[in-house]
Amino acid sequence: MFSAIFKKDFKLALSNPMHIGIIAIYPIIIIIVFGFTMRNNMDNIYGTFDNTKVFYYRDNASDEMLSKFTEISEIISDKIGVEFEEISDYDKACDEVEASKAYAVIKIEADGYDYFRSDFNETYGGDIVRTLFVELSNNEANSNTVVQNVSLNIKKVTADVYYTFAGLGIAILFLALVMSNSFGRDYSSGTIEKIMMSKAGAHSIILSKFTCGAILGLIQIAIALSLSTLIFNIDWNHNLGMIIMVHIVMLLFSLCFGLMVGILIPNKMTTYLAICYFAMLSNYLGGSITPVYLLERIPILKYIIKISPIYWTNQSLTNLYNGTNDSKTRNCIIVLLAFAVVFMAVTFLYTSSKSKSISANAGYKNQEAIQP
Amino acid sequence: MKNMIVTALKLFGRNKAFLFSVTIIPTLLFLLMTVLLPYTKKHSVSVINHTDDKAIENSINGIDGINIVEAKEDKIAELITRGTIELAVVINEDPETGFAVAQIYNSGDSEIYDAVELAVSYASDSSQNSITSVNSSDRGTHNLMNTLPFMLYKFIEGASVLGAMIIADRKKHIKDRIMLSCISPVTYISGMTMVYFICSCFGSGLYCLVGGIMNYDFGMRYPIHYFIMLCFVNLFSASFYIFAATLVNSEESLQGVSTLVLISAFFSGMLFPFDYMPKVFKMIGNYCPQRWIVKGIENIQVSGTFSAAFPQIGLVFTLTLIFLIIGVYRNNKIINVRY
Repeated sequence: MFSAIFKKDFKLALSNPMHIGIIAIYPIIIIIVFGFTMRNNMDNIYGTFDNTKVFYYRDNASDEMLSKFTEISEIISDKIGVEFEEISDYDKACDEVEASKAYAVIKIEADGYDYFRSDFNETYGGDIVRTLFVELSNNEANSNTVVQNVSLNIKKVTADVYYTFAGLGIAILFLALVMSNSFGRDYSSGTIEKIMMSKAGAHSIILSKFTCGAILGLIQIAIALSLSTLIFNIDWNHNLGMIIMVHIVMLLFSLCFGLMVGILIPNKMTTYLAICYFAMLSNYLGGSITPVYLLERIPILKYIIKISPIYWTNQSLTNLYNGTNDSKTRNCIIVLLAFAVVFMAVTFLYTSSKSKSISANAGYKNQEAIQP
Repeated sequence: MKNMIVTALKLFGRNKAFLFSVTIIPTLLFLLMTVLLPYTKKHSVSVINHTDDKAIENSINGIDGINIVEAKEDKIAELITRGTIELAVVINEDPETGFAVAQIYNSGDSEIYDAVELAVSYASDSSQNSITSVNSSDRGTHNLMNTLPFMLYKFIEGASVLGAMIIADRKKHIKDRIMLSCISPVTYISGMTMVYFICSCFGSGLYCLVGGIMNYDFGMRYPIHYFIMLCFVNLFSASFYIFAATLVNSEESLQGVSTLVLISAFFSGMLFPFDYMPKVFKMIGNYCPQRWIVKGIENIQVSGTFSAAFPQIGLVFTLTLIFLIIGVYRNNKIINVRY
C-alpha cells in the first residue's frame, strides 16, 4: 500500500514543471549566474587605484616644499602606483580633475601645498590618496611604531563557493513547495480523505511524501555540488562530509516545514504564497542574493539577518569550507533539527486528529446509511 | 487639446492607485532598495586598539574612502574569510619598549594594504598646523547609483498604467466617444501622455528631492541633470507603453511586456553592479535602453558636463520617437478599422 502511495506522490511531484525547475534548474542557474557575476565583488577587486594620476604645479615653490613633495610623491607612487605629472596650466588641470582625468592637482607653494580635488566626483581611490598625502605632508614617519604584516593562511570564500551554497540553499528551501503542493492536490482531489480512511493510514501519507521529497532533495544536492565542482573546479578537501550533512539537515528542515504548511492549510494558493514568501525572505536575509558581508554592514539589518535559517547554514558552510568545524555548525544542525522535529510533530498530531475525525464522520454516515 | 488634458487629468485623478504608483511608490521603493541592494566599492577595515594611544586608530579612521567595521579580535580570520573585512589592524603596546605595535591582518590580496600600512607608519598625535589645504566638497554620504537600474525599471514599468488605461478606454469604448467628439487620435494620445509625463516627472522629482534631503551622493556638479535624465526615461516609458498598448488586447497581456522590461533591467545591472557582470550579460545589457540611461548618467558624473550624455540621450530619444510614431500610427489604424 505504501509503495502505491509513494509512486503516486513521486509522479505527482514530477508532473509539475515548476518542481523540476526547483529541483534541477534553479540551483544550476543561481550557481552559474551569481558565481560568475559576483566574482570580482566578492574578491574585493574594485580597481581602486587603476590608472591613477595626480597633477602637480609649482607656484613659487620653496626648495623645502619641493624636496618634501618629491619624497612624498615617491612614497605614494611606490606603494600605491599613483603617477605624478607636472603641468603648466593650473586651470586646465583643475578642469581635467573634474573630468576624472586625474585624482587631484597639487599646487606647491612657498609654505605649503594646495590640494585641489573634484568636489562632486572624487573616487574612493582619490579619497585615499588625498588622505595619505595630507597625512604624509604633515607628519614624519613614526619611528616609534612597529608595523607587522600578518598574512593569514586562509582560503577566502569565492563567489563560486558562496553561490554554490546560496543556490543550493534557495533550491532546498523551495523544495517545501513540492511537499505543500502535493498535499494541496490531495486535498483538492479528495485523495487525502480516501487514504486516511483506507488501511494505509494517515501516517503513511506523510512518510510517503517525506520520502519522495528526501529523494528529490538528495538529487538536488548531488546535482548542485557536482556541477559547481565541474564548472568552477572547487576543491572540497575540507569537511565535505560535514558540508553535505548541513545541507541534508537543511533539507529535513525544509521538507518538514513544507509538510506542516501543506497539512495545516488546505488551500493550494495560500500555501504556495506562504512558502514562497518564507523562502524568499529567508534567502534574502541569509545572503543568497546580496552577499551576507554586505548585509552585515547595514545597521539594523545586521541583526535581523540572524533570524534566517539560511544565515545559520551560510555561516556554518563558510567555516566548514575553510576547514573550521566549530560551534556554529553544531548549533546550526541542532537548531534546524529541533525545528524539523517540531514541524514533524505538528504534522503528525494534526494528521492523526484529522484522520480520526474523518473516520468518525465516515462511521456516522455509514450508520445513517444503514438505518432506514 | 486643453480639454483632452483636463479630461485625462480627471481620469487619472479618479484613479488613486495610478497617482500613488507613479508619484509616491518610486520614492518608497528607492528607500527600500537602498537597504536591499547595498553594493559598494568601499574597502572595509577593522581597527582593534588595545592601547591608550589613539594616533594609529585615528589615522585609519580618518582615511576617506574606506569603511570601518567593528570586529572582535578572535573573529578576524573568520571575517576576512567571509569577505566582511579585508584587513584588520590590531594595535598593541610592546611591553619592553613601550612602542606601539600595529599588526595588519590580511589574506595577502588586498588592494589597500599598502595604503593602510602607510597611514599606520605616518600616524602621529602632533597637532601642528596642516601645511596642506584641501578644497571643500559637499558630496553626499549614501550611494545613489546602486539603486539606479532598479529605479529605472520602476519608472519605465510605471507607464504600464498608461498602457492599461488606453486599453481599458478602448474596451469601454470611451476612446471611441472621445473620437466622435472630433478630437483627433493624436490629440487623445498626446493628452494622456502629457498628463502621465507630468505625474511621472513629479514622482521622479520627489525621488530626487528625497535623495538630496537624505544626503545621497548624485556624483554630479548639478543634481538637476539627474532629474533631467529621469524625465527622458519617463518620456521613453510613456511612448513604449503607448506602442505596447497597440500590440495587446488586454491589460493582463501588458504583464508580458513588463516582464520584458524586467529582463532588460536585469541585464542592465538591476540586481548586481553592471561592472561585475559576465561579458555575455554586459553585451546584452548594452542593447537595453536602461543601460543607455545609466551610461549617460555615469558619463555626466565622470566628465562633469551634461553634454557627455548626448549620445545616450540621442539613442533613447530616437527610440522614444520610433515607439511614439508607430504607437500613434497603429492606434489610428485600430480606430479606422472600427469605423
